[in-house]
Amino acid sequence: MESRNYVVWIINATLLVALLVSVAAALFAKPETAGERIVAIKVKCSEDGPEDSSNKKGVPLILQLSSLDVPHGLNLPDRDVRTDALPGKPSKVHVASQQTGRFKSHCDISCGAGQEELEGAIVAKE
Amino acid sequence: MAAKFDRREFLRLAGLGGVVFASGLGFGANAAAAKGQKQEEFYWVQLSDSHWGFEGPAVNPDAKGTLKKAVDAVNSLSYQPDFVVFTGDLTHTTDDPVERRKRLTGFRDIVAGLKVKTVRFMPGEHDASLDRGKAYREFFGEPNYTFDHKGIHFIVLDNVSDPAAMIGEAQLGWLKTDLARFDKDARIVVFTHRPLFDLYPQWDWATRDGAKAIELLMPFPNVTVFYGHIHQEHHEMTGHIAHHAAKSLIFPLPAPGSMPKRQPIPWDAAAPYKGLGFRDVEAAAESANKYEINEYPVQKA
Repeated sequence: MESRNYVVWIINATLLVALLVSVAAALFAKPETAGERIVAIKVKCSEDGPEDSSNKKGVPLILQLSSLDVPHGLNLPDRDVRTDALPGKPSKVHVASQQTGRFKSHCDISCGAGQEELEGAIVAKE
Repeated sequence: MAAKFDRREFLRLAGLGGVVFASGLGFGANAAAAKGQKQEEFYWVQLSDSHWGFEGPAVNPDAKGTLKKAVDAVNSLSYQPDFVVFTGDLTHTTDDPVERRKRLTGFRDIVAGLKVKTVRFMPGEHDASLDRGKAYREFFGEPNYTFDHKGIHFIVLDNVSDPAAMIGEAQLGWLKTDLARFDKDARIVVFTHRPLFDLYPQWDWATRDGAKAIELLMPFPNVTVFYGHIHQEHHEMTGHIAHHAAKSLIFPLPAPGSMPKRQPIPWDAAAPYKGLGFRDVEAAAESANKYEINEYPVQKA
């Protein structure tokens, strides 16, 4: 019963890499209020990203992004989600948690050579 | 008219050209865009996405020779076009500003070999997005401009110099002002790099504010858009506006969404240069929004 009600969000390394160009490390998740979960991500060109899993069904995912170098942009077209990730100016974006599947993401701000080969996805599992 | 007949006959006899795509809905004649210009039949050649400086033997072992072959192929056309247009990604992207200028120089030197001396350029994101078009401007001038030719008003839109893939409010205002000079029956052709519509945003095949440009163009029934970026022939309508994507001169890409990832299609040794090519576009005199598109390979099979 518990597992049936469990939704796992996987932020693929390549995901925000999408944004990516890559995520440089700092991804950490911490339980916030009962109604949401916040994942903070610091992005940087050309570095692999981390992987995160586990969120309870119905708990919205909030990505909190900031850039360690140049402006990036996280775009998940299938979820109608996009936000900038700017140096020194963290941004937040809400990703609803009711839908399962794999949702591709990419960086929609040109940030360096090789950017367009990188893409990622957010995976939500039942 | 004799030239038209002869050119078509030549294409037929030589076995050149590929798919012929008749674009437009035929809204009638006498819609010359520029005041005092008579609508005449002519044709131009569109080349796109040459990515000079790209290296990747698995997808194009002749990366240093393909653009030159295309220039030779255009020069070999029996009837030379009125002009040639390159719809962006002249060079392959690099983080190094010195290398970027070296590649732009290399590209410029090769296309200087075209017999046709009226050559129009615009940047792709590979040329301009990392420095907001600074290096591109040094070589080819402003990335957005207009010109008139034989009754058609041509508009070159820049949707790549902004690294966020946007046309931007300033340029949209410029477009609005430009369009205000024309009657609604003006014959208009837009050249740009990225698709103005959301072709496949998952692969970044879109312009974030492209819908605003289309909205400005919609009141004009005789508008056609030619673009590059997606490395393949593609035709789509947004309302009455036809959008035609051109092949690349370096490597083809898969059809939108047809593969898990947007990756170049590997080189086929059994069919070299497959999927690469250029096109000519013939503007008909008898119809205000009719274009015939002939697709050419980089070299004859």
